[in-house]
Amino acid sequence: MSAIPVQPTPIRRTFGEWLRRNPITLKEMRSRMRGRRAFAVLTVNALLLGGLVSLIYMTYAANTQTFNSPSNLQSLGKLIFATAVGMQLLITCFTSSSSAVGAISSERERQTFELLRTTLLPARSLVLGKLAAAVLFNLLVILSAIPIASLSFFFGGVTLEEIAIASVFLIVTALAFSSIGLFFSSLLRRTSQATAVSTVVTLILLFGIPVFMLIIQGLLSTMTYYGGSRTGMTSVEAELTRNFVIWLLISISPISAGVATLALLLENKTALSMTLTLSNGTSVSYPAPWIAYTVVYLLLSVLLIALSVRAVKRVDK
Amino acid sequence: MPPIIEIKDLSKKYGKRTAVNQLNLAVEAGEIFGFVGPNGAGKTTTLRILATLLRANGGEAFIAGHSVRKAPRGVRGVIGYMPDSFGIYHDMRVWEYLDFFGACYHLREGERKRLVNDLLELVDMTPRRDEMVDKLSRGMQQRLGLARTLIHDPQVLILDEPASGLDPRARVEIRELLVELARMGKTVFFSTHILADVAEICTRVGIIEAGRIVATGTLDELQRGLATQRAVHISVLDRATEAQEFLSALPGVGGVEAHVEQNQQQRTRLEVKFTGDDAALSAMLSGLTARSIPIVHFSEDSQNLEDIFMQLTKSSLD
Ligand SMILES: Nc1ncnc2c1ncn2[C@@H]1O[C@H](COP(=O)(O)OP(=O)(O)O)[C@@H](O)[C@H]1O
Ligand SMILES: [Mg+2]
Repeated sequence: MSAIPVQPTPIRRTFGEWLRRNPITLKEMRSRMRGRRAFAVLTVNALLLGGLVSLIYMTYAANTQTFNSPSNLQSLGKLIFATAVGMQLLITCFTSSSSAVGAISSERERQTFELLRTTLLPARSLVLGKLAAAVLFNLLVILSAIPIASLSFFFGGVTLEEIAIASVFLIVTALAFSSIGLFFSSLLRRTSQATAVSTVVTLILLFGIPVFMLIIQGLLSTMTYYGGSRTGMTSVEAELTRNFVIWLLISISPISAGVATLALLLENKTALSMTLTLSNGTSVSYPAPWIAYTVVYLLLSVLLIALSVRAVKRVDK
Repeated sequence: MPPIIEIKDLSKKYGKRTAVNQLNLAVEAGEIFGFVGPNGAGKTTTLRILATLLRANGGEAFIAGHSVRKAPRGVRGVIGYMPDSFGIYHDMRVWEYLDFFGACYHLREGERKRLVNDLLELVDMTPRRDEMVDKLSRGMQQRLGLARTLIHDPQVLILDEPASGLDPRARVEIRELLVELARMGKTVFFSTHILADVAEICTRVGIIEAGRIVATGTLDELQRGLATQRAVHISVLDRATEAQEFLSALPGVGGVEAHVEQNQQQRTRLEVKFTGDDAALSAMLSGLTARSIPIVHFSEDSQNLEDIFMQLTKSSLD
């Protein structure tokens, strides 16, 4: 065997090139595709979406009126699209966090983590490689739903804008929830622990926040009512605060942000901002929930990825 | 040239328990160094610190001049580390396993292909290249693990109990491989609690006990340094009493016992307790032959390794 000089990593590379060179991504994709799980996830996803969409179609088809007017058909199209995207959103939250939740902890459990750490592979490449594999797989799941969602295109009514927003929404969700799984995987020693914590967090983000929001909304309404006397705020200030808090809460849960965005789209004005009218008649505009959602979840992802890299880098004490 | 592995006053505590206690050790390039000690002596802890996986509480360690604490990446580039457990991926073929780790050292694809073939050849696993790693026998996995440590052509191999849990044949194969690697110019630093592993192949050994080095040196040195008393066996055909008187009068001889050996053509066996060096031992033999005493056997009963080991590590048994 001759001496092989260790090649320094070239710094300037395109993302695609980096991805192709990252040994972790390659290994993960290979083993994911080799296993039966990927196939199972794709199948279950298609069955769930297909089932739901068929149900809607059959319900509508039972009513002969549906096919009489183009506008009825269009709303059928919109409904199918919204349902497919909403369902896919829910599924993506779970498949993303669960497909990244073993990323680091399973390497620890297999005792391959230390082997990797003694190589020249930087912690950052390990973390990003794992994340890329999880996100790419979930994008594949999302892509596989397109044929079903595209059924809605036959009926018309779905705009290009809606398709674009849905895509951004789903991609950001796949990235963010993969990052959540990855983070707990890097923090906790066991995959079972990471799975438990990450599932709880996913449930809180999906359902906990909307419930919390409803409670807060109730509380804030009372506060607004007593606004002037109790908090020293004018009633307009109190109302503004309330609206802001609610807007924020709506935007940080995938479900509420999705529903609110859908409502915006159905109102058919603009999908970029949300306007709320105060009791004194003035109206205030906020960025649309899907925009806030995108910003918040992208920032969250970056933070979680950085924390994961730190956890991987940490030398045992 | 400075030692390729240098450990200075290294200490490691787990909570209140001291695992490594001000350990000092130097290994020269090209050595096969056996790090021997009973279970719990602190071998794995020391090796993990050297492999940059664990931070010491005190002291320093250098590998090929790189500080384990300050330049972990430099260290990683020059060491091949094999932990006491074989890290298995369940869904990987033998060649993929090596190729994957090669990529983790940033080796290019074409280079890796050639290296994987060379390494499989070296560890005699070419026919297994497409088998799944988790289906391999323990001995095969250990050899594959060794091949993995070599993928980036490191100068130093740090191996934690490379022969443990193997059947005798696989053990011999691993030992032969280590010798082969040293011949290729690598420094091999390996831990073991099995003495037979170090006996045949090590250039030097260091014995660790309760986190401290209690002895280092070649096996000969250890044996001589420890043998406070040597036992010499001499068999004579005749004139046993004369021989016994001559021997008893020699300086350094502490006593001579004579036994008539049964079924051995009237031989008499003399057991001599002796504290002299090799020159004195040789003089003993020349003295006997100068008197034409019919000697049929003359040997030193070398103290076996287990005895030395027990002597050195007896504090753990107290
Ligand atoms: N992670 C750990 N936490 C606490 N104690 C440990 C840990 N690892 C090892 N020890 C203790 O440190 C001592 C040395 O262990 P180790 O280095 O594994 O010895 P060896 O490899 O020689 O058998 C033992 O007493 C062991 O119980
Ligand atoms: Mg050990």
